[in-house]
Amino acid sequence: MSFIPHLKKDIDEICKELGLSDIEGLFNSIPGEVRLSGKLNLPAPLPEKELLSEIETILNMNNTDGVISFLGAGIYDHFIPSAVGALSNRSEFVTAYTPYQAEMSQGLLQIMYEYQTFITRLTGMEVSNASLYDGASATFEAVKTAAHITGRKKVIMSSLAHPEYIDVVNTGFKYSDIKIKFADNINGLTSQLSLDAELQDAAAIVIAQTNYLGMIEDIKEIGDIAHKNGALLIVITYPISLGILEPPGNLGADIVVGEGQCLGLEPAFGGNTLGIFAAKKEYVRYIPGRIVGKTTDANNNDGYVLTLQAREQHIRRAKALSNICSNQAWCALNAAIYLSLMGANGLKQTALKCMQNAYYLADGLDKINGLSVKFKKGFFNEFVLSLDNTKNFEMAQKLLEQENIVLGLPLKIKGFELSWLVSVTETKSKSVLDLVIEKVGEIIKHVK
Amino acid sequence: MSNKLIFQHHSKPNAYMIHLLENEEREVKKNVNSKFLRSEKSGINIPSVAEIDVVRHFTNLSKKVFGVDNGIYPLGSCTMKYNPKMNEKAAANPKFTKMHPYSGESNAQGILKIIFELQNFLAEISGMDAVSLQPAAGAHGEFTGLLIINAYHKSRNDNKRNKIIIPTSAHGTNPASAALLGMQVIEVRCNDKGNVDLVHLESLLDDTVSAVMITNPSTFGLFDNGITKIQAMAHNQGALLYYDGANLNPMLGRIRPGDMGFDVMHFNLHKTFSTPHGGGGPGSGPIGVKKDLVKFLPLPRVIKKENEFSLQLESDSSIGRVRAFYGNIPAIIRAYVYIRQLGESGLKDVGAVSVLNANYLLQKLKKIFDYPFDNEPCMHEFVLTAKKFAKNGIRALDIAKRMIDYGIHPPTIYFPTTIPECMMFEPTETESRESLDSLIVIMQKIADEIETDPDKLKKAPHTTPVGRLDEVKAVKLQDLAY
Repeated sequence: MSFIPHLKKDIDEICKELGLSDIEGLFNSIPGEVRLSGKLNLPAPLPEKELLSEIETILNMNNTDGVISFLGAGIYDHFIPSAVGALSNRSEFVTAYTPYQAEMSQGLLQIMYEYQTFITRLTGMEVSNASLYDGASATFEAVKTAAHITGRKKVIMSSLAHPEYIDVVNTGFKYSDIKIKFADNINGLTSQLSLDAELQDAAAIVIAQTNYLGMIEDIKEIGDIAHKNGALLIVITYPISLGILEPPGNLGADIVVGEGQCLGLEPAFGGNTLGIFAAKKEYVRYIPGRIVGKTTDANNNDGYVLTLQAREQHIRRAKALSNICSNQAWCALNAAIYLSLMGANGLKQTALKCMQNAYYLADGLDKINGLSVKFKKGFFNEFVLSLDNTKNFEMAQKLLEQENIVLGLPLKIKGFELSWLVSVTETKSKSVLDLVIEKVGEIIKHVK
Repeated sequence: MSNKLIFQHHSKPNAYMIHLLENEEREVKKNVNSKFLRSEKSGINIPSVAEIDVVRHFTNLSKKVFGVDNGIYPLGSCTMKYNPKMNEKAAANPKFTKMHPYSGESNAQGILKIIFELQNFLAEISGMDAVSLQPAAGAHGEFTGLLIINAYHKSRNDNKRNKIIIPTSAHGTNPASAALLGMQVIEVRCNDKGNVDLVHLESLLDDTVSAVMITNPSTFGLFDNGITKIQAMAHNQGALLYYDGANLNPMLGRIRPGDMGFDVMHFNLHKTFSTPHGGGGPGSGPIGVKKDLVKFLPLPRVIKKENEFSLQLESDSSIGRVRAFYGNIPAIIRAYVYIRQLGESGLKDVGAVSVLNANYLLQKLKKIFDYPFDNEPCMHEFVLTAKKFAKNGIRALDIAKRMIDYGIHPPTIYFPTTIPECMMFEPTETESRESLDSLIVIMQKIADEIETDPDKLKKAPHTTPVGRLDEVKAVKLQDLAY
C-alpha cells in the first residue's frame, strides 16, 4: 500500500507514451556502479489493520497506566482543552505547506500573525517571529543574534539554565570565535558576584525564568547590570508562569526565548516543541526565522504576508542571519488556539493553581522525615526535594516506581545529586496530592 | 474580505476555568517576592473568547488554507505527497503523546523501539552506517552534518579546512548552514546540462576544502552522472561529501547516497517519508553518517542491549546536542508507520512512479513552456522557463497567481535561481493520471489566456479572499503584531 492511485493500465499507458517498454526504463541512464543490486532489508509491508495492531503491541511496551508523575524540566503536563485538537487537526491546517503563496493562505498567515501577537502580549516584548524549532535552539539563535547586534564575542549564560539548552548553545558555538562563559549559582539562584566585571565585554547575559531548579530569578537586577555594561538581557521564559509573573519585557529584556509546548501541546516524549523568539522592535532586522506582517491588496483589503524575507536563507543564502527554513507552524497554531480559549484570566488561574498545588505538595513532603524541600519559598511550580544523605537514593527511586509514583526528575547537577526536581501543574487534584504525600511518607520510612 | 482577529472578539469567560478564591490567591502569592508578580497594571492583554467563537474563528480560517488534502500541490523540491491518515492515528495515540521525555527508559520501551528501528530503516534505505533522529528540520540536519564534518577534520589535527564547495543551483539552506559554521562558501558552476562542472570543481578543490555539498538528483531534477567523479575528486583532496536529502524520493529502493560515496547526509521526513507539513512545520531532519563519523553523532541515540532499548548518553567524541530531548517524535512515529506500511516493494514503487509522473507531466508541459534541457528526461521533478512570455509582459509569478484561480497550488517559482522565470514542478507519486491531466488542461488554458487576455494573469488571483498583496508595503509598515 504505497498510496499510489494508478491502475496497472495507467502505468502501462504512460510508459508507452514515454517510449518505455517498462517503468524500470526510467532509470536506465543511471550508472550501474551506483545502482543498488539487491533489495533493501526492511520488514515486510503490513496492511493497515495488521499494522495498527502491531503499533498497539509496541505501545503497550510504554508504561503510562496509573502513573502519577511530577516530571517537568521544560516539558509540562498542563490541561489541554478539547477544542484545541479538534481545530488544529483539521486537515487543511495539517497538510498545508508554508504560506509562500499568500493569497491562498490567508487563514494560516492570519493565525501566525495572531500567534506573534499573543507572544508579544504574554512576554511584554514588541515583536515576535512565527516560531523556531524549540526553546533550546531558540536560545542558541538568541545568543547568535546578541553577538551580531553588539559585535561582542563573549556571552554569559546562567549555570541554572536547562542543562540541555546549555549543551545546545555549547554545540552551536563549538567552532565559532564566540565564547560562552557561565555565571555561578548560589542558593538556587544565579549569582550576581563578578557579573559586573564579566559583562563589560559581553554581548549578553542569558538567564532562565523560571530557572532549572524552579526558582524565580531577579531578572530586572541582572538586566540592569547587563545594560550598564552595554550587554543585552536574554531571558528564557516558561510561558505558563507568565500568567502570574511580571513579564520579561517589563523588566528590561532585549530578547525573550522559551519553550511553548506548555501552551496547548502534548508532551509527546519531548517531540511537540515550539521555540519562542521575541525581541525589542529596534532589533527586528536581526530576528531569525519566519515573520508574518500585515499589509493590503490593491483594493485596500487587509491581508497578511511573510515579510522581512531579506533576512532569510532563500533570499540571502550565505549572507542570511541564520539557516532556518521551516518553523513550528502547526505547534504555533495549537498555542494560538489554547491562548484564545484560556484568555488572560484562564492563564492567571492556571498559573495560580500550579503554584498553589506546588506549595501544598512541597509543604506536605517537607514534613516527611528523611525528605526536605531545599528552597521553601521563591519557586513557581517546581521545587528541589532532597533525600537525607543517610538514605539510599536508588532504593527510594525503586520503591517509588513500585508504587507507580514518579516523584520528580532525579537531578544530575553538582550539589543536588540526592534530589528530585518536582513539578506540579494544575492537573493534580488535592486528593491525589494527599495520596502522594501519604504514600511517599510510607515509602521513605522503608528507605535505608 | 478579511476575518476578524481573535483579539477583536468580545471577552466571555469559558466554563472549564479554574478559579481560586481571593484569599486563596493572596495566600499563594505570599510565597514569592511581590516585585516578581504582575502588578494590576501589567495584566495580560489577551481576551477570553467563548468556545463557540474560538471554534468558528479557526474553522473559518481553515477554509482560507490550501492543503494537500484540498488539491494538487506540485511544489518542486517540497515533495507534497499524500499524508496517510494511519500515520496520524498512530502519532496521536495517548500512549505516545502523554509520555514525558524523562519518563525513564524502562517506561518508554515502546517509543525507544520505534526510534531505534527508524534509525536503522533510514540507514538501510540510504546506505549509511548510522542515523540520528535529533535534528528538527532539514536545515538543522545540514548544520548538524557540517558540525560533524568539522569534528572529523579536527580529530585528525587537520585544522586548515575552512571552505565548503556548493553548486550555484543549491537550496539556500546549504550556503546558509555553511556560513553558520563560519565556513567560506565557494560556489561551483553547473554546466548546460545542469550538472556540476567537473573542470570548475577540480580547480576549486584543494586541501583547505572541508566538504562538498551535493543534491542528487539536482535541483534541476536531473541525475548527475558525474557523481562518481565528484566523490573521487573530493575524497582525493581529503574533503568529505555531504548529501542534501531533499530529493531522495526518486531514489528509494534503487539508488543509495551511501553507495554514491556520500559521507554525511540529512533526510527530510516531511518530504520523502510523508509526514505532513503543518503549514510550514514542524519538520524533521535526521542525519546519516558513514562509520568513521558515527562517534561524532549528537547524543542521545537509541541503542539496543540484549532485548532492551536504552539511550546512549555518553561519548567522548559526540558533537553534543543540537536540540533539547530526542527529536520530532510525532514525525518519527509517522515515518516509521509509513515505512512499515510500504516495505521495500512499496518504497520502490514510490521511487518509480514519482519519476513516471514527473516525466509524463514534463512531456506535456514542455509543449506549452520551454524546457531548458532539450530531450533530457527528468527524475521526480523538472524545471520550465516562462521567459518566452516576457514579450507579452507575463512573468512566472503571473502564471503562478493565475493557477490559484483554477484551484490548484502553483509550482515552486524562481528557484533554482540560474533559470530565468523558473517554475519547478514535482507532482509526486500520489497524483493520479486524471489529476495530472487536469493540471495539464489548466496550464494550457492559462497559456491561451496569455495570448488572449494577459490581464487575467497580471491581476491574478481574482477568486481569493484578497488580491495580490503589497509585499513592499508590508516591509515599510512592519505591522507584526496587533
